[in-house]
Amino acid sequence: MNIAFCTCVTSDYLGFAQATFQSLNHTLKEEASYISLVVDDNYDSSKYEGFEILDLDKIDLKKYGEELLKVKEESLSSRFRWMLKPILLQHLLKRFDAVFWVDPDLYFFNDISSITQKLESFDVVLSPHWRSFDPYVNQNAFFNYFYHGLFNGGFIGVNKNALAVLESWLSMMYWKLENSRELGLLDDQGYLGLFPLMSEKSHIIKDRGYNLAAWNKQECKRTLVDGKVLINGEHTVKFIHFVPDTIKNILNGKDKLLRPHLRKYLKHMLEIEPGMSQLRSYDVNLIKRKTRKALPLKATTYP
Amino acid sequence: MERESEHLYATIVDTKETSLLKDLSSSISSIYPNARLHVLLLGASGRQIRKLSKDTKAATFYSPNAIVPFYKYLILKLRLLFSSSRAIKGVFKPYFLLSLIQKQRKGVILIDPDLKIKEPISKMVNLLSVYDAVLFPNRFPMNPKISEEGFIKNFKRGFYTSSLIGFSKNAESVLKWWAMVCSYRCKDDKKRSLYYEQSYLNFIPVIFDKVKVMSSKFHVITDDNSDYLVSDDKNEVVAESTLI
Repeated sequence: MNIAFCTCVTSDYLGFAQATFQSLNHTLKEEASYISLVVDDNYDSSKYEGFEILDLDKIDLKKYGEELLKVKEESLSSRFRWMLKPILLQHLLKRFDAVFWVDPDLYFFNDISSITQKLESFDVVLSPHWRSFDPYVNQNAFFNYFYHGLFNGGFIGVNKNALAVLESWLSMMYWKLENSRELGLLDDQGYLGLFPLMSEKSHIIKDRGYNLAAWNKQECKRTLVDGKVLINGEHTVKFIHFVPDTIKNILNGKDKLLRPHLRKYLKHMLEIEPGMSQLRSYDVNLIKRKTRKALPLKATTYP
Repeated sequence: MERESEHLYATIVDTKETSLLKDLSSSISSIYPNARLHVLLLGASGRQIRKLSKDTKAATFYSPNAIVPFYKYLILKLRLLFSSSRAIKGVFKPYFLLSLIQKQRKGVILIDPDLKIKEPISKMVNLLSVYDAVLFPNRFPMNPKISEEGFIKNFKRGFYTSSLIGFSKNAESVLKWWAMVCSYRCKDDKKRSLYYEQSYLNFIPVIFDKVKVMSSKFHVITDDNSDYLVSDDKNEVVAESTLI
């Protein structure tokens, strides 16, 4: 089975894509291809390595109708990029047996081939958010499922049998692509809950080491066992979703067991983008200050 | 075909719905001749329960305070003080099923009283030897262009029907979780797209391992989804509401 991992970014986030792909390449115990679709052309391809950069003009957007082109013309907003998710997956399934969408703020720490291999027998792989399942413990987190959906849009796997599911996903996005609390829709993500109904061969990841983030500290307890961080005392850390809140939690000590993982991530990011200019959605100075001691700021070869 | 004694058949009714029990009971016994229907009767006095037990020989009746510990029953009663009868029925579904599993150590199939079950149900019942929970999708439309109202129901009503569900004797943890969330909130909360006990079923395949979602060819026709289901030679009707 030939596998690809893909994402879609604006050119100023290509460094993030590189970090994600290199972390995968370093940990994955099987061959895979890495592809980032880029929606603008303000980049220097010689700056990036280890993955294929796919220009938007390589995808025939016309066949997806006027509406998509209209969204594109309006802006290169996230809305447009979300719509490109199923389109890119469909496009790559012409070349690969199985394709995983990975958000460019994911960073991998251990092998995930047990999940990639699922696409030999399943058509879809979905990653739950792992917010609290107990409203008595955390009401807000629990009812967030009703607003944000059951599955995280940052990590999705599909094989060639899922083409119809991807087509339906895109048509749902054409219908409504918004944050509707009343309907429980968060952009493209809320629709993922319907995937197991559309494809009987949907695999839901149960390993709590996947998709660690600020929102799943309760369901995915970080524990230290013999000096190793394990989730719920049994699962190794597969990947972390480094959204700003995840980073803030780690830095302010609310999620301190993941600090070595953040150091590794930031070190890698610094090698790719020494100015860290792209990590601008949170306090860069704070990150630098908090990590300076443990983080050799001189570039080293990764890994 | 699976032996009837391996599983229990259960339903929940209030005093206004007891007339439905005869049809439900006979539809079950047409497939499993020796099956006994276990009925949780809400809002009935001891005398009413005794009378119904006498009149309906193929059923065993339970009152709510007999299926949960006394203190929990009081807490539930307080929580449900201003709730609709739909909500009360919803909350008691997982509690009733849990109590049956714990006391009888058998799997249980919950059937809403207005449903008439048909032979293909045996396919679901047989799966309970492998899976802890078997769910039927509501089968609301997947294409908003075909029916926007129907498509939205996926989110407003939940993906799976709570009118017909199967649990194996090993499903205690599933039922405990369902009971816990239902006891927290069980209502038609439009702002949250929460629909009584039914929306919580969306979580079961996510949280628990041995869960089977029945394939699209098996239909449970309720008054909620009957407008959207297309009759087809390939489809098998497992249960149909007698109220449509």
